[in-house]
Amino acid sequence: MIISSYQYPCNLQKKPSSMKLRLASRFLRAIRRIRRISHRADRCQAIRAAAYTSMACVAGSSRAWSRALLRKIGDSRRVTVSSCGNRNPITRSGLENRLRGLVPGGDEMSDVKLLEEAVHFIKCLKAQVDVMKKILMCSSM
Amino acid sequence: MEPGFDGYGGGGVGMGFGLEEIHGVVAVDRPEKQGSSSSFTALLELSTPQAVELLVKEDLTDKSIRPPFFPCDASLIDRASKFSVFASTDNSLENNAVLSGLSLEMVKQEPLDSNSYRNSSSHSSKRKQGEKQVKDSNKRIKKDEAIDERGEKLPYVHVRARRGQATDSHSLAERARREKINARMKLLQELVPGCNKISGTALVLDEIINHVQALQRQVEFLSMTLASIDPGIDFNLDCLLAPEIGTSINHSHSGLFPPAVWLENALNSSRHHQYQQPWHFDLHHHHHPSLDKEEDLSTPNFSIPENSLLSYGSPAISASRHSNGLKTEV
Repeated sequence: MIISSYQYPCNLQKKPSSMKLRLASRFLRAIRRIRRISHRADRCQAIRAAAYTSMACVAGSSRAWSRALLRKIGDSRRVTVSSCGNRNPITRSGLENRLRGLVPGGDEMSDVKLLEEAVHFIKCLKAQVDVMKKILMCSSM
Repeated sequence: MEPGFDGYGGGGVGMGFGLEEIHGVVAVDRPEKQGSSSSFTALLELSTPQAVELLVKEDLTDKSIRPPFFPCDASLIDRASKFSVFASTDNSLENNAVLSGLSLEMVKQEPLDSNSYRNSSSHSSKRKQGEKQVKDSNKRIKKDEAIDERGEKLPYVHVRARRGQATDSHSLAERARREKINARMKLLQELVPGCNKISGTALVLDEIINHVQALQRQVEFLSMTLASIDPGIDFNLDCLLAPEIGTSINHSHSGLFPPAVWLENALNSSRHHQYQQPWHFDLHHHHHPSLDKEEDLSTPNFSIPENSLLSYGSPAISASRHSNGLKTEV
């Protein structure tokens, strides 16, 4: 896995374009490295991994979902795990389970926290998609 | 007993009793009231003229006969003092006395408080009131320092339950939690387009889940497309910062890319498949779910069989194949 070695706190109060810039720079660095892989399917996998990795790195350790992602990648050095227990483990409706499956690290979150993390995750995901689209468009020029 | 009461009764309208008097009262009362569970009944245990005198001297309104003592209920005072905000002294008895003094102040200041009247008439509800007050003092403290005329800097917690809502501590916590969840749902609704008109948590959650899945499918598709482009292209940030996006379609290129509109249609129209946990990536599993989905679209020409991808060694050939497939579409 290609992991950029730069930690950046994702602050959503700043202009969203700053987050996109950070995403873009990290992602491009990863893509440049990925291009050396010959096999196309491997490249596809690697690019997708790089997308999620750059999202997680830009979000930093301040978010539970990014921590979960980084942990999954195997980045145990930089992830500071602050574990506060699950406060409402009882109510797990069917809908929420789907959301838990979608948001990384959602299994261990309480309901309230799940919604918070979902908000941030959706924002980062949207930014990442926009960056990738722009890359595509620019590269076709 | 009687001198103690007289001393208390002679204290005037409410504010005159000092700590020692209450101390005396409490100390005196306690051995008496072992068997009684309510201060009201304790009051009744006094001889009638004494009780009447007590009540009259307190100058209560005619609306209510209220027992002036909370201190008789020692267990309540004990519990309240444990949770007490101003529990600075170690002497629990003093604490009790202080708390009881303030309770009395509350009683005197708010003679029209029907809540306290109702609650004070029975032991269990008094407990509840004490508990509720105490618990709410932990949660949100409304300092009522106008009451405190004697200069003791002790906040009194005076909380009313909202109209038509239970005052149970559990329901309070649940209500707070529900409010939190509703606030977060509102944020999510603003984030996801098209959710503002939908009312109802389940439908909104459905929309949100669909949106997340669509975004993840987009990531898949874009990464696949990015993987198939010519590696000879040099990316730099300047082209990213350029605002124009949709005008770059006309250029012929070895790696032909679909126009932005077509991309959007392809990505947004496919909602048939549920794709759970796409961020569980590993290199050994050659999994291309986006390809499977594309076959279901109304654009069947785009379907690239997976084996053809794997069989091509050089990216250039595969890219041209890709472009041929796309050209038929465009």
